[in-house]
Amino acid sequence: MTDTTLANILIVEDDKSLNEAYTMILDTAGYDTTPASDGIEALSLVEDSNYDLILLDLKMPNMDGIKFLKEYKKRYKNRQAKLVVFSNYDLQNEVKQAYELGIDKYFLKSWASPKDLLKIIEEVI
Amino acid sequence: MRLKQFARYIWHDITAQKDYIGSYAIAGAVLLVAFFINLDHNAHKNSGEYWISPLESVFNTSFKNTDMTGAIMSFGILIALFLFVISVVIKRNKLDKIHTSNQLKLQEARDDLLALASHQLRTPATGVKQYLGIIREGMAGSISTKQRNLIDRAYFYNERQLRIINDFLYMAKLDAERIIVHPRDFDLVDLVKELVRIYEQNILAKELKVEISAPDDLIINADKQCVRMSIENLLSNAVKYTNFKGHVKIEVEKHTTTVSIRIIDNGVGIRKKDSSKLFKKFSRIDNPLSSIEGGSGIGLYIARKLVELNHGSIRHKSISGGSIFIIELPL
Repeated sequence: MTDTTLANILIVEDDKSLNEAYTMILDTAGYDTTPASDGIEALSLVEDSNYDLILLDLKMPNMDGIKFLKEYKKRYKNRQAKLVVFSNYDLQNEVKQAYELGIDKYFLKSWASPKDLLKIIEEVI
Repeated sequence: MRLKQFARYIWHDITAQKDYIGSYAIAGAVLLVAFFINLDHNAHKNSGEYWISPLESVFNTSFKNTDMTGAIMSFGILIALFLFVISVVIKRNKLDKIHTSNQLKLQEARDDLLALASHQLRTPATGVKQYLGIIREGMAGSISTKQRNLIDRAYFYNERQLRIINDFLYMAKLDAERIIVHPRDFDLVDLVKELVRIYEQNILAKELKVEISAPDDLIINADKQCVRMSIENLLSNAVKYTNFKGHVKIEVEKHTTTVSIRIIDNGVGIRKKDSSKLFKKFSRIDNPLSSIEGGSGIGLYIARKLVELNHGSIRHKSISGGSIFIIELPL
């Protein structure tokens, strides 16, 4: 994708305020964003629409990031969406699991400033 | 168990009757039996019959010419004492094991709490980082220089908070021994040069003169991340606690079986009386710059643990007008 204004990003984050912040950051940069608050909502959204990138939080209620990834890979393995995963829990085995399931990037939420986030998205897309 | 400690245990147990009722009962029973065997034996002796006590049959003699009163009594007392001591030892060992396991459970609970609290604290700090970041990066409209200045201060305080949280989490991991060391060969001199480059901004801001004295290269076998974090902590302290236009020198030297990394600064230094606090958890020493610089108080604790995990050592040498910190690692 060279034209960022057309890129469709799904933001899966259970903390409402953080979700709004990420939405604001990506909207300002010209992306088309959709929020989701857990894995279940994300799955239903993915069912209906095609996203260019999914920004996925690992720790969420109802269905966490890893479970979502497993389901997503099972149902939509032919989809081209980039998967960027983040978390504030720096758990080695979780990160390893995510990479094994096939993600494009992982980063620690508390490390990334808005600028850092945009840089990562740009690099991955 | 050392003798003094053991004597203390015995005294305590004699006076703490409740726990040792069983032991006292056994001792008392044996004494009573010994007493009655003795009485019975004396009674028979006096009447002229020879009553062969179990003891006598064991020794296969008749004791008609000797007075066994004392012997039986003392033998009985000895058995009683012996049983008593054994029961104390067994009881104490059991109590010690329970105490140790309680300590471990307590430490584990503390570690888990620390990890949980730190993770929970990361979320609001992340929120602050995003919202302040949005404003200072101009994503919410333009702001005046004055406003940008104020936002920056808040932003960097929050960054400090995040660093402290990271330190706490890392320490919890270290204490729970969940850090796995992956040793490999790497160039120590390259690492030192890279770290100095990373701190270039801070060094320039304070107009510090930083000198590196090292061979062209020095390959060591250790966990690069651990060594990096330890040296970085020392370098960061040297930069933090050295005044404007001060000097920081880093000396990397190869010895016969070890390598040493010496970080020397001419900063605020550490008073002799504070040097024992240095590598302990949460110790922050009062000095003219400590309130400005801030910190978690566990950087040196982490640095030491990491160096020791790689079979090295870290120490501080007092000098007047500055500090020297030395890391030694095996070759």
